[in-house]
Amino acid sequence: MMRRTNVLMACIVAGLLLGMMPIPAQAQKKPKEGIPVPKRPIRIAPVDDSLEMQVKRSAALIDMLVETNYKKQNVRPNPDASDEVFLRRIHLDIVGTIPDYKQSRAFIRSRSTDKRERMIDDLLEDEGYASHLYNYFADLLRVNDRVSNNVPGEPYAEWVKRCCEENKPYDDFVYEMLTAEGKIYENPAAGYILRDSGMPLDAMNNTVRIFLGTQVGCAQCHDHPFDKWKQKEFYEMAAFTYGVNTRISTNDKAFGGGNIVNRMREELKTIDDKFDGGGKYNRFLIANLISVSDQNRTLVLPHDYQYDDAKPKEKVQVRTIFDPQPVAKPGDTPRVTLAKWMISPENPRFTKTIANRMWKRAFGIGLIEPEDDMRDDTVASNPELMDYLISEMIRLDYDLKEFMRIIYNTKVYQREATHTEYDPSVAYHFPGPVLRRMTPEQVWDSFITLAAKDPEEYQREPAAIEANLINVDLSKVTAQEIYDRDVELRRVSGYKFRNERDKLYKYQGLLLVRASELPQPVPPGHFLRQFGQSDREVIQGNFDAGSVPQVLQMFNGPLTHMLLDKASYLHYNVTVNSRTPSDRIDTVFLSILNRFPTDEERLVAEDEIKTNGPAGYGNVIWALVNTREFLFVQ
Amino acid sequence: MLKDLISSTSEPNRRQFMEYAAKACLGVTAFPLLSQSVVYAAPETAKAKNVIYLFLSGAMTHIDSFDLKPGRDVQGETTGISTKVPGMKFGSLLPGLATQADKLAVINSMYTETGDHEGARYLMRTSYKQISTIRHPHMGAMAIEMLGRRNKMLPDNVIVNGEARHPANGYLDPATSPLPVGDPLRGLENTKAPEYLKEDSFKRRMSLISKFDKNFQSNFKQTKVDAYNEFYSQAETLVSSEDLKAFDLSEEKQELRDEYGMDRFGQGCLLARRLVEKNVRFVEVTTGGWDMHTDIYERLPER
Repeated sequence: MMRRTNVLMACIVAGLLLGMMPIPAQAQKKPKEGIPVPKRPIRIAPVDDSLEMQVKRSAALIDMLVETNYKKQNVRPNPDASDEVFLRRIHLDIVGTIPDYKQSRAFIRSRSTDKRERMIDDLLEDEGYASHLYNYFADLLRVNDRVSNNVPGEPYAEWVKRCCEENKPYDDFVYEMLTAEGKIYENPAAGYILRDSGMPLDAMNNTVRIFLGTQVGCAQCHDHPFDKWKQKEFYEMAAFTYGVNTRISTNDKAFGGGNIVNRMREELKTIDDKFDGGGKYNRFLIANLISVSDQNRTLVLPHDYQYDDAKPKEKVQVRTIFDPQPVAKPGDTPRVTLAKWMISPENPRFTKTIANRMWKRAFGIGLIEPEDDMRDDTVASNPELMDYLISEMIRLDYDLKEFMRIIYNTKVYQREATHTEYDPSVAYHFPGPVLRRMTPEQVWDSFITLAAKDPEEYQREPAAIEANLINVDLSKVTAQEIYDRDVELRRVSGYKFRNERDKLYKYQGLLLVRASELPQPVPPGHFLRQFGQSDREVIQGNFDAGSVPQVLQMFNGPLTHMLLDKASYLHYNVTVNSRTPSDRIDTVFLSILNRFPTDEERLVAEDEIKTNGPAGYGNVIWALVNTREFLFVQ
Repeated sequence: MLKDLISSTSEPNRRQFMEYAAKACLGVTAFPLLSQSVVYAAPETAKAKNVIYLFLSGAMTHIDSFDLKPGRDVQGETTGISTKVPGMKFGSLLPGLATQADKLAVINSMYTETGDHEGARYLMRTSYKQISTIRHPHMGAMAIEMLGRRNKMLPDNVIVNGEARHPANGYLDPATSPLPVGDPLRGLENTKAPEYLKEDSFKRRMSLISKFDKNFQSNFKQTKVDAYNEFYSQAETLVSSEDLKAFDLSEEKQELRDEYGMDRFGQGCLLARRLVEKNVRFVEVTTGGWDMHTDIYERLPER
């Protein structure tokens, strides 16, 4: 705990120093190795080796429950997955990318009997673990670099990432988001509330869907047509957060009377000749008004409320949609009361939702489907297993890493993916995982693994650099100080500076770094968006459907092109690190499909290389990344 | 309310026109409730063969554009201006459109039941309410499913500046999926092979794919794999097609491009026109940022 705080402090201090320090002029001129790249220290929470036996016991119990269900349902389990299939899947599942050829060869050749357990533990301590889990939560929570006009979302995005690095218990993670107060610069978890600023009813709808796997949205306007929810119940639930305020008034009495923004603008005009009184300083003046707090505000039913259980415009009392009802402690805001109720193990859907979501992450299908539309009569495809997973999640104090460690150690996870198609109208009894297309981020990150030698090297600029400059107390700050901070901000975060730094990691304009370090989300048309990355406007907007532009991207896009270029890691490995032609063919297959070629495939590759010389390698590489085998996770 | 609308115009009722258009074009009833209460003989209009669908994501403020509420508190600062159609008023920010009002059918009676953007976007694209158990197809996919393809070479269903959670082909065949064009200024990207490649290289490469993918394909005969196979074969046809030039906006005069506006939406509209000229059946052009909760009178004029 102590150590965690220190890391945080170090990060803030580093941010401050970097933010305030003048950057040497030569660094801004030329991209060179020595360009200062501000970084945040990253420490990935370790797994506890001493828990190994407990992990095995829990995994065995899961297998027992799954296998009992096979008998009941007359299901034949899939054969065990080969080392090659396991290796590729476990990498994609834990660190979000395929392994490189060295890791592949070493694992396949290793005779160690516990190599799978070792691999799982190693990957859980890899930086990719945090990056990949972050991508999952970014999709779920709609993490966006722009929270609203003038309010950047980077501090929140970085906070979510940090929680993944530290392995913050999931219940704490949720509690901090639901109860956050203040500005996003001071308390980045406030980003969660700010995301739905000005839409209090939608906000509750989203919160219930994300954390309780339940859809109450219909009841926003009328009794739910398919579920049991009454409109009144929706309002009672929404009443908990209705008092959330996200904007300090420009006329707040703390500002000593009058409109603070107008006053500051007038004063800034006298300092900055070029300032016309417009939006130039909004990232100070507006952004510092955006702050989460609680007010006493009563929610009333709509004017056209149509049911007998209450009257239109009647005041609504707080009440949660599930029992047991919370007991408000003196001094707790309704929001705190709600948050405590939300994460309590007695809440019938909180733990179930996250346990099911995590199971689905590993198998491609939840025990409950859809994962976010649970009803009272929803039954998991294996209820005993669902109950056990819930009890494990509680026993582990919502330690997601340890929970996943158990799942990855089960036999059922380590079976072959089901060859026949999953039919959503029939309950799935987990003869093994289902075949999945890689997530958009997995496709991208796998390409980055092929292309770049050290994909972890690049980091987004620490959010503290901007946050520390922007965060001011408008009741105390002078216009001169805002002017000075603005000049500094433009310098340290200016396009030119960033561009110079990013040049080192770019190929044909594409920043070749992990998806989690790119803008959130990347702009439309980017490779990631074409492969289905969410626009971060809706919950879990990622999709895995194909399209013609995706294929064109694979045919002729800059990333495919890069793989054949001298600059790529793959090119280097094939031409420099491999000696004989047969060695080279192995390297190509181990890099892309993470397995050795079959005899037949080797003949095809040899023939191609014989006919076309060095270009033949290019053709083989090009063809392999264009196979469906590459794109799907078996 | 309905009565007022009908009696306020002697022309064929606009809503009825839209309903007819929806039926004629897509074979669906877009306004099922209304069709029960109002019965008209279908007017003799030509059937739409191609559709350009401009989608203002976030939803344009109706009381400042096409649905003014003069004299009411909610109206705010916006004033109405007369249009070419007597009695029809638009917001003062739409003077150009006002001169073309006689070509427009304005529907002011639609609403959704939740204050929920995602649900509303879904409804406007599919005419169905979004539920979590089924994914409905959007209009373009439905048009192709029901009426067949018009352009056999180019993708017949295109979305410009689309959104990630577009309902796309829904439960229909993946072949009816819309082709998303991320940025109209860059056209249809990645259609040109690198110059160093010899003519026959592409064919060789394609045949290598099938050889290397043989085992996987025989192990996993699943719809989502087949869908990808289908996209690969479509892409293969497309890269050698003459019709690809439709995506090249630089073929247009710069003055004309400026008139459309050199931004994603303006150029998206120009692209839509060019595609429809090539008989592409359905083109949707999306422009975002219309969800204005605050500062409407500053932000709306900027649009």
